[in-house]
Amino acid sequence: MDKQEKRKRLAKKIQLNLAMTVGEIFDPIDEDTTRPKKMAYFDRIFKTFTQGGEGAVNRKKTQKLIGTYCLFVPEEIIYAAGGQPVRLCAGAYESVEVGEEFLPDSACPMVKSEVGFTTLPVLSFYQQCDLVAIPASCDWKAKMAEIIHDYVPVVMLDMPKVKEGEASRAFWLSEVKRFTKEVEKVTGMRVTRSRLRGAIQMIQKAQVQFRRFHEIRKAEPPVIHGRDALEVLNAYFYDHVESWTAAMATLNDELEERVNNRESVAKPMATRLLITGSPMVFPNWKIPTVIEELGGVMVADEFCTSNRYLHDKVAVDEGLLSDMLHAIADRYLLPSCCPIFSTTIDRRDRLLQLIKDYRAEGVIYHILKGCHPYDVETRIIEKLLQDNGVPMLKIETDYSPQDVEQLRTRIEAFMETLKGQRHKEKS
Amino acid sequence: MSYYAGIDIGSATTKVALLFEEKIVGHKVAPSGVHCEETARKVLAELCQDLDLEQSVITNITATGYGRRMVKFANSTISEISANVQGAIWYGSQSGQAIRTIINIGGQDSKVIALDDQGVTKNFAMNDKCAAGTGRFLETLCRIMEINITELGVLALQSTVPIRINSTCAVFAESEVVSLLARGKKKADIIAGAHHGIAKRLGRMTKRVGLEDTVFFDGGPALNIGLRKALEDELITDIYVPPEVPQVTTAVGAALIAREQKLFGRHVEEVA
Ligand code: SF4
Ligand code: SF4
Repeated sequence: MDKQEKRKRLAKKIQLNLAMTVGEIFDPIDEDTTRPKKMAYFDRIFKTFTQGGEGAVNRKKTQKLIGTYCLFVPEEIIYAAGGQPVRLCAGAYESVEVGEEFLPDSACPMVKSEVGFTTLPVLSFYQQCDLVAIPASCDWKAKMAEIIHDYVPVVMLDMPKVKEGEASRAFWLSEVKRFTKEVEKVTGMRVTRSRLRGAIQMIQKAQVQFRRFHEIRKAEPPVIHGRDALEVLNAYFYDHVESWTAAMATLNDELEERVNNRESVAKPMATRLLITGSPMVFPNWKIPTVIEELGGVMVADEFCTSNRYLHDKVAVDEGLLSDMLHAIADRYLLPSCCPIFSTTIDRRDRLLQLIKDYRAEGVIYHILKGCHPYDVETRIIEKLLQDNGVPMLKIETDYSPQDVEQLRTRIEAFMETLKGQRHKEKS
Repeated sequence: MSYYAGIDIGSATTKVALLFEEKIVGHKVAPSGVHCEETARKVLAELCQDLDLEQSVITNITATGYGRRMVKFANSTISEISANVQGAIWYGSQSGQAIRTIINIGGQDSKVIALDDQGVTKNFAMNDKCAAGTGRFLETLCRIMEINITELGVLALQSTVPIRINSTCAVFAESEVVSLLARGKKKADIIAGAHHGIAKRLGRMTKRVGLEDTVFFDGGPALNIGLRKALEDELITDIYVPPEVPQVTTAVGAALIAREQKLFGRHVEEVA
């Protein structure tokens, strides 16, 4: 058997294993009658992973596909240039072993999974990208272009690490402008003032539904599970922004009805948890699944793949092209809570706000093994929460399903102590 | 020129192979029953009868398998690992293949043996603590599904996406399968999932001892095309299953050892 044949069979194996994982996740979900009906739209996207992700990305045949990583690549620009963005951050255990051929053991599973999908045809949209934009965010991302450039055309975006200061702003703006040129080259369409304004407004409409969704989630009793919240934002990775916005609007309508009917997805007095740390991407839902199997609710998260995703708005949607580019660059840099930056101030504020708004009783701090940015912030966040009387459970894990039972034991114990505290406060 | 017999007494079945020099002239498989020696004697006698041979033409008998020491009429015994290796190499040489990895699934255990390029055992791994990766688990599966063991493979091939069976223990896996059936899941997907689980376990064992082509797969379950495909997918390599009866390779190996011992005095674990 030659090398090529081996790769082909390896791809087939990973595909099958991924399909089995998708089945394992959606089997119980499909049988759950308490779940909002409108989730089906989002489920469909992930179920395409059983067939190589064909149909996951919502784009016209003629549209160029621009892959993105992290939360810094301006989608407004991609849409304005006539392209379709697809966020490639990956959460599949199956492709980790493929990525390991290119990366050291100590790399985080996210980057391993991403490199795996890029180098082996398992999910077709990884290979179909006409350009992949990688911000030099964490160290793994900084090296990624070099690792995958034989497989897909890539462009690196340099990131300032100290975001305060005019020099950083100016530098980042120049990177955004360079990126604009690169995208224009690929799509063959210029980013004009009116197209950019249109794109900004299109995304703002999505942000309206996003904010509405997160308002609804504050309701008590909770009307949607935290895992499903991860799912709808994860679907934004692949969907066209307008289709996503429409689907979100109908989901929000349904959820509002549930609020009115006091239709809960959890038992009364269910433990309310907030989760933060390294991002979770489908199918890496092991922690939210365990929480919810134990009867708890993940009332909010602070992930770059979910609650942080569409939070920050572009401040200007009028004016000159250069004003808009400036505003776009600022949106992605200044309010970012991403731990690659030198200070945790924004993230600290945001966390405390979320804890308050969603009345979280405890925080789970999730670290993917090898994810240094989040690891390094643990102490600071732990102290912050301690000072504010919020218990925290730190979980370091990867994508392997092997530790699920251990995690269950730890999370269960954590939830029990939170319940105990509740009684203490009452008496 | 002479006849040699190999007797492999496994937990579930007893296998007898008869060689004339290095040529297989016949083999027979029967349930081991309670009295190993009696069964072995009977099966050997029947085989001779089938072949119209006087039992006295057999110059040397080697017993192997977990019940080998019970067979007092054998001239020598040998471990099933060594017998399996000899059998595999012999089948390999018949088809012009150099066997480097042997995967054997028995009734109660499963094992993987790595050979060097001289055919000498380098390393092996064995699972005899848990039924989950063995023939017994497949039998249990058939019982729950109410199907015949020979149907397993064909059914498994009908599945497009197997259902993951998470339990690594046969007892838990059994209840998992029962509940999947109760929830109306397709038999084919469950069976394929079970095969997938076994293949994963064996895949891990194989990785530990070191995978090298050609891979030889024997033992009763090697007849199961679904399991074989699952193993091929897992290991990403083609697998060679000996023609005719893959259960008897170890018995054939024992017979070859009986011959070598007689001619060259080698390979003797202990002489009875
Ligand atoms: S937290 Fe920041 S660096 Fe990490 S994946 Fe998200 S956006 Fe990228
Ligand atoms: S920020 Fe963490 S999870 Fe994201 S790519 Fe970097 S190391 Fe991996």
